[in-house]
This record gives sequence, structure tokens and C-alpha cells, in this order.
Amino acid sequence: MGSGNSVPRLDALLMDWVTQGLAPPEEAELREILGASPEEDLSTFEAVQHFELAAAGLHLTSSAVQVPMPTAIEEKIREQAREHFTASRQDTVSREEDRPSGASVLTLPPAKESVEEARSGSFGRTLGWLAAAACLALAVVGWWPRLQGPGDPVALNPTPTPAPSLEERVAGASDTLRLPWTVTEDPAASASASGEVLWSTEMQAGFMRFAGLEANDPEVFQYQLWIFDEEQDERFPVDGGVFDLPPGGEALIPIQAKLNITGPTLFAVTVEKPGGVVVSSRERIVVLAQGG
Amino acid sequence: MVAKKEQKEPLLPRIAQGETEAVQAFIERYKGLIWWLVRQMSAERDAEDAAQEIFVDLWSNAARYDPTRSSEAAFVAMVGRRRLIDRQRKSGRRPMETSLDAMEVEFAGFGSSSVEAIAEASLAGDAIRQLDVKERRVLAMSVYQGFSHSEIAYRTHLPLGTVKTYVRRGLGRVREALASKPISSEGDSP
Repeated sequence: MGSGNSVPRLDALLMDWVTQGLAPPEEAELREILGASPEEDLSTFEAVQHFELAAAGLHLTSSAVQVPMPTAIEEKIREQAREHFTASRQDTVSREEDRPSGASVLTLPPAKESVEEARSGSFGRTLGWLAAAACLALAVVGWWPRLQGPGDPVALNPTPTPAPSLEERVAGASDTLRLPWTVTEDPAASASASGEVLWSTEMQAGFMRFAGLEANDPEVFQYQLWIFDEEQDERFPVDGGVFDLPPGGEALIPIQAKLNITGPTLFAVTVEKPGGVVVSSRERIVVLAQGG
Repeated sequence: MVAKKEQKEPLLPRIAQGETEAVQAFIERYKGLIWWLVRQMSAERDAEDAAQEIFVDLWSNAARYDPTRSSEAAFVAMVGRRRLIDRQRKSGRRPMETSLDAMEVEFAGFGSSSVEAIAEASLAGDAIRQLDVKERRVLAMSVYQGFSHSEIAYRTHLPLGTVKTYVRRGLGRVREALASKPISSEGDSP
């Protein structure tokens, strides 16, 4: 029986990674050899790219036998492209307009009332919720094999929409859902972190308020919102947008749901690589807010 | 350095600069390749989502494309494969069933003139010509369809160690072939 033992261990791991993936212990071994942290994207390593390119080259040997893409799907992709790049341009404009003020997000006065209200429940009840949230978080992690739909990973700073307008419109909607964040033990969240999420299904709009979360360097990591919807399979949360948080003060972040939300059951904010992800590693969930 | 044979101007650098026209041209140029990848490595019911995710990945990572390291087609195939394998891993879904005969036909495609126009395909084709039929068959099941080594062993009745050896040897040869003759964008014409 051939064993393949003549292949250096690193190469063997890389080839297995590229063709079939690795079990967690083997992936840990590969990361150790490469000097990669658990969060690092292995595809950025040159050694990995060499084998990925080899596999891609093999695919190209057969690409002459092409199957035409169905017209309907092609049209959807072209429409997706228009939406994607429109969002990117808006984001660029937003960044440019934000630059003179030096603010990457809209800052608001502390919403003590809402946050205090959110914390007004008994300690026991809070503990119970936290436990439920923790269980829910585990369930979410377990049921999160992929993200919803096209999963547009465009980095979205908040739009320059005046805060009162967005806040007033969402807060004034008849169906507004107002939920406090439950903070996890993730390093990005301090013990005093707080905030809430407001969402109007009728308007298909909402925003998140944060205080006490770690400011991010967009070159290092970004936050990303995921929305779980009652009409959607739990495995397929909707991408709610990628965003940054500035140091100090409160931040108001508009929600950028990529799909229609019919009844949000859970909002979750994760830490992701710059630009966001289509498939989350689920390793860092920072805050959760449970809906109806 | 071997000049890349692909004659088309890369579009990803223009997409990275936000050129809308380049995006539509990119879809036109690579829809066939991406759909081919998707249909090889995805179940039919997942194909549309998979194709959309691959395009988003490519647009989002357009700035990462380095014309001095690979052809654009190879980069597209690389990113597409990565996404499809990731989807398989996350969903636990098995790849599309294809007969071994059909896969042999697929590998036989490497000699066509359109494929030879892509440097990586030419080099990979040369490398796999050195493999015997069984090795090529196992490599096709692994690379094309994402079958695990255990699944390949089950389907081909080959020992698991032999499957691993075939996959690693084949992929290793292709990697060596590509590494020995680095791809260059020199010679590209718009």
C-alpha cells in the first residue's frame, strides 16, 4: 500500500488542504508550521497559493469543455454586479465625505434611557438571558455552515444620512423592534459595552448603537452584522453589512441588510477580516440581540 | 521566464479601480469558466448561489490579483475553487456525481487550442501527461470534484494510501511544473 510518506509533511498537508480540507488537528498543525494564527486566512500564504494555483491549472486543462451559463443566472449576476459596485461607490463617497470631519461613523449622545431600560431586568433574568444567548450563540455557530445568498462583502461605513432622520424614521415606525445587545466574552467587547439594535421590518431599515466596543483598525479587522430571519433557514443568516467603530463615544451604524427581512429573530455582530466575509469563521461573536 | 500565452488584457486591475465597464466585460469573459467550475463541484441546486458567491469574491479581491504571478484565468479558477471547496466543507454536501468515464473525457480536454492559450493549463497538461490513467482518474476525482481521499478509495476500490499518493504525486508534479516556469504577464496585448 502506498503511503505518500515520501512527500514532505508540509507539502502533504498543503495538498490535502487544497483538495479535501483538513481535520482540525491537521489544520492546527499546518497553521503551526506556517506560523499562521487561527484567524489568519491561509489562502494569503504563498505556499498555499502554489498548490491552489496547481489545482486551478488542472481545472483549466478541462475548461475547453464549457457549459454555457443559463441566461437567467447570468442576468442575476450582472444585476448583482450593479448593486455591488453601486454600494462600493456609495461607500467611497461616504468615506470621502466623512474624511474632513475625521469621523468614520456618526456619533450620538449617550442613549442612557434605552440602554438602562435594556438593563433594567432582574439580575437573574439577565443571567438567564445570557445563558440562553450563550446557548443560542453555540446553536448559531453550529448551524452556520454558510452565509446567505450573494453575501456581498462590501465594506460599508455608515452612510452620511443625517442621524436624526434615520433614527426618527426607524424609531417612529409602527413595527420597530428595539433590542439591547448582550455582550459576549470576546476581547473586542469590554464588560461595560452596551448598546441596542433598532429594526423596522416595514421600512426594511434599522441601525445599531454601540458603546464600549473596541475601536477597529479597518486594515486589521472589521465588524460584520448577521441577521437571522424567521422565514430563513437558521443556517443562512442575512449579511447585515460590514462596519467600523471609532475610538470613544457612541456610534450609530445603519443596517445594510442584503436581503429582505420578514421577521428578525437574532442579530449577531462578528469580527471579520477587512472587507468582511461571505462565509464567517464564527470564531468571534461580539454581541447578540435576540428578537421575537 | 515564460511569457503568458493569454492575449487578453486582465480586467481585475481595472475592476479594482472601480471601472464598471470592466465588470461587465469580466462577467462575459469568465462566466463560462466559472459555470464550468460550479457544475463540476456543486450540486445543481447550489449552482446559482455558488456562482454568485464566486463573482462577489472575485470583485472583492480584484486588487489582490498580481499579473506577474498568474494568468487572470488561473486566478479566477483558483478563487472559484476555493469558494466551492469552502461551500462543500461548510455544508457537508457531497459533490455532484459524475461517472469516471465522463471525468476521463474532461481531462482529455487539455490538448485543445483554446486551453493551450492559458499558460497554466498548458503546463498542467504537460505534467499530467506523465501520469498513468489510474493516477489521472484519482486526481480528477480529487481536484475536479472535491471528493475526499476516503471517498475516492471507496469508489475506486484503491487503498487509501494509494489514493493519497496519487493525488499528492499528481498535484506535486503540476506545482513543480508551474514553479519551474513562472508565469509572466509580459507579452500580453490588450
